[in-house]
Amino acid sequence: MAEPAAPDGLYPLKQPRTLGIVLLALAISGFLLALTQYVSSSGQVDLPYYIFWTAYFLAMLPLGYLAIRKSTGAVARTILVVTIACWSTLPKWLRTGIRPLYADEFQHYRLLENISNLGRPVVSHVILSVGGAFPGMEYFTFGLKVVSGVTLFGAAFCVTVGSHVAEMVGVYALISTVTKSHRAGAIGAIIFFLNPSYMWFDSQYAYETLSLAMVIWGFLFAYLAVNGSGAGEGKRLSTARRWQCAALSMFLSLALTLTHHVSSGYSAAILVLYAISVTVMKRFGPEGRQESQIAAWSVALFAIAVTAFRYVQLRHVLANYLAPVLNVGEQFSQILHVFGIGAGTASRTPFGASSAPIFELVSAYLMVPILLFLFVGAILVLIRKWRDADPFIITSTVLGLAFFVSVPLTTSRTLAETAHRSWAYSFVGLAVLIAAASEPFLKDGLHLRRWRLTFGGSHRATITSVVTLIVCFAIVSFGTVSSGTSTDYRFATPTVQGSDPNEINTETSMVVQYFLNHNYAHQGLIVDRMVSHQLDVLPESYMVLNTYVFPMTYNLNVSWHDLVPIDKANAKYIEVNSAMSRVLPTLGFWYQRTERFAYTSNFVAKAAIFRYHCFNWLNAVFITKNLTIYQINQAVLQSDITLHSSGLSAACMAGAPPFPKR
Amino acid sequence: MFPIDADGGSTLRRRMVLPLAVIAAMLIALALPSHGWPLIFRVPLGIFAVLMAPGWFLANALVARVPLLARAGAAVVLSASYLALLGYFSYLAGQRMTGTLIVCVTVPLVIVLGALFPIEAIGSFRPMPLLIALLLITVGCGSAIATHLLLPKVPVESTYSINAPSVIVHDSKAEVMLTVDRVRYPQALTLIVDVNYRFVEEFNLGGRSGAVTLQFAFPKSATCSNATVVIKTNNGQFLTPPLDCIGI
Repeated sequence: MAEPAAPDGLYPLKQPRTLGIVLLALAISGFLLALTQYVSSSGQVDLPYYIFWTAYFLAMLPLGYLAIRKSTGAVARTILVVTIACWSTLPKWLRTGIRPLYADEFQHYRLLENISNLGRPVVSHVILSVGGAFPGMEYFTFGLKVVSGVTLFGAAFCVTVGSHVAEMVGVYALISTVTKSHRAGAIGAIIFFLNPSYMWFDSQYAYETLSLAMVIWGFLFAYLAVNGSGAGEGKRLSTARRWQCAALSMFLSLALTLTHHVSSGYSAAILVLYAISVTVMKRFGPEGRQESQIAAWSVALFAIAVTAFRYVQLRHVLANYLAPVLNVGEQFSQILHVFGIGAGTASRTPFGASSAPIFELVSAYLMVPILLFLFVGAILVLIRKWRDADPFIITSTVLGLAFFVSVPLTTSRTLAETAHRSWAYSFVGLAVLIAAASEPFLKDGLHLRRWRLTFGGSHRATITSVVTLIVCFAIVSFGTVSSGTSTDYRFATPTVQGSDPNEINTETSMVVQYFLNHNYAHQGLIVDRMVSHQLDVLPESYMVLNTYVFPMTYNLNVSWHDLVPIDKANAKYIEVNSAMSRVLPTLGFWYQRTERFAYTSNFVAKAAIFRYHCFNWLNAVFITKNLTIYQINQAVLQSDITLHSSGLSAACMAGAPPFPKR
Repeated sequence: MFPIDADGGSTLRRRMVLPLAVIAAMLIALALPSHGWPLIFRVPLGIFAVLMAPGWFLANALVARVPLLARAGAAVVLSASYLALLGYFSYLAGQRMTGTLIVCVTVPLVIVLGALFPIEAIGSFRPMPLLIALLLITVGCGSAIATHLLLPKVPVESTYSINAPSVIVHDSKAEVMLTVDRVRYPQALTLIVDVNYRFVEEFNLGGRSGAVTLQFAFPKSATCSNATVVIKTNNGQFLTPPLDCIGI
């Protein structure tokens, strides 16, 4: 029999025994998480996975159980949700330390540095070409730095943790408000926690960090404006309060247009969908439906207007940046291809190069049917009460459906990243729908008897249902983590060539330090992707498009035409990784996705790497075990261009080995 | 005007307690230096002020039925949006976002919001939920961070770097000043010098690091102005520093 909730809502966390068990579990879990990174850094391949998952279940099972338990008080549920959110920041921070390491973070830190040093949001980089137009998160970080005196990295750490917690707490508050049940809120928060982009993501300090929290809270304010009722109480908000909520939702929509283009468009689309749901379901809507419809359309139209304004304002930049993603035809043909209709795009094998253990890979395939079962089950449960259904739940159903539609896109090389990034959003819909549907079943305990979910049941049936839940939770946990993030981002390892987080090492740091000591602002540096990441956070360096050296690295013949862009870029140094001729990049490419040999099993020719020594306008002045920095002699380069010569030495031109063995 | 309580105290005074506290926190944080021991006070005060102003006053009023910790989440998001907009619009207006600008805009805003959206239950604030949350988070994160710091450092990969800015050639001699740096790289380094792709001399650096000068005879057959000097390491890397011809 469940214990009655204490009036202060803190049950069971005020019970010393329960609190002690949770604290012990968290302490051991934290210890094991740190041990995971230590073991993986030492070169162990399989052991880190097992230690990590032990730490995970040690923390998540007690916290999750207490959060969804019937007798847990509302305040205790919030505390547990916040604790889960804070705990889930640990794996990434232990992996990276308080410094940028993941793909996009370097560019965002660069934008932050520029706001700090130059006072304006400018960033000139091929990867984050739209960054300067969406500096919302960086301005918030900078404001935190200015007032608190904390370092930029420290402020970014606060923003990342604060936003991460605000996202999960936002989902909890949203579902609590929609379902009027804190318990359903906790269930929804845990479903959201399971999304592949929450605990692990290939960035920490990136667009979605703050924008997703804005989206979720924007939905909540929109819901309050439309519906006017809050969690746990039948009391409705006054008209003035509802319009204040509408104003806050609009405020967040406006801030979103300065923070992330995709989230802004996504939020506007969902708000329109919500307004349509409110309108279509007017016959069955709450009292004061006219007011609800006006509020819904006001919020939606404002979001559409500001988003459309920004999109039109930035159309050229966005068109270039989003061109590969917005290829609707390609997306559609890829979905058809999965069903055996038509040809697909350049294919990618999910987990093709993954070193994850087999149970993670199998779970990644099993999680889709499990989530589909929950999704369909939730619809079947709610369809019986269709006439009373909340329009927001209808909207969430469409949103949740997007997850299943996006799964086939993971087999496309160009669309897989888009699909992965969309899951953070579609899981909000899944969480709302499944939590809303599960709440009635959990009211008196969940029991499985004769394959039917019924209220009440035997002790044995209860144990069966609990074990089923735990197994499903474990499979979805394994599956979402392994499908959402590559192992390089999860665990530190000894250096891996051509891997974003695992090639940032002592060698690349030595090269960056050399540039820092020798390069001047606005002089070009032509480098590979891994070194370019680290250079992005240096305020004085000026990046040159690394595409300029493609012909130099990949073409059998180099002509004087290939020298022209290097001259025009005012480049001073070229960095070359000699490992390109010995290993294949884990990432699939060395410079950019468009390079020759990208995603193939072709090595760069050894002669092409050596050829850099043969150009009379290049001098190798700095080396590490694998990396070489060439200094460009501008006068000789220009002279070669004038003479229509590539500047190759006679020995290289003759095809002779440039440096014969002694 | 604001109504008067039954006990005679002004509601305005009660309403302004938290806004004034937040403003005071912001002003004190900005007044403290940004280095040394005052940071112990400045950092928490500044973070508190930024996250509270103005988000808390809106979140607390509009999502009042949600537990306090969840409202804090709303406050963070609203304050973040506020600073994002403030920063961007100040940029459009040609202004830098500075501490002064933040104070000048935020202080009046907080006063207005404090008056419009009063924190009614400020006297009944119970710290127990916050303390329990803090305890759970501290133990969870603390054990991980403590373990991380206490575990022996994992060896970083061994590597070396050699910087050779130029080769100085005068008469029949050549000299190159190298800077050798090693990170856990105890192996001996052997350097082979070729001039115009012909072997000239071999240098065994052993385990030396720091400044190293190599001196070798410059072949008479080579012309300094168009010669190529290659310094080859024993792991297959090459240096081809530019030549500085003195007196030739």
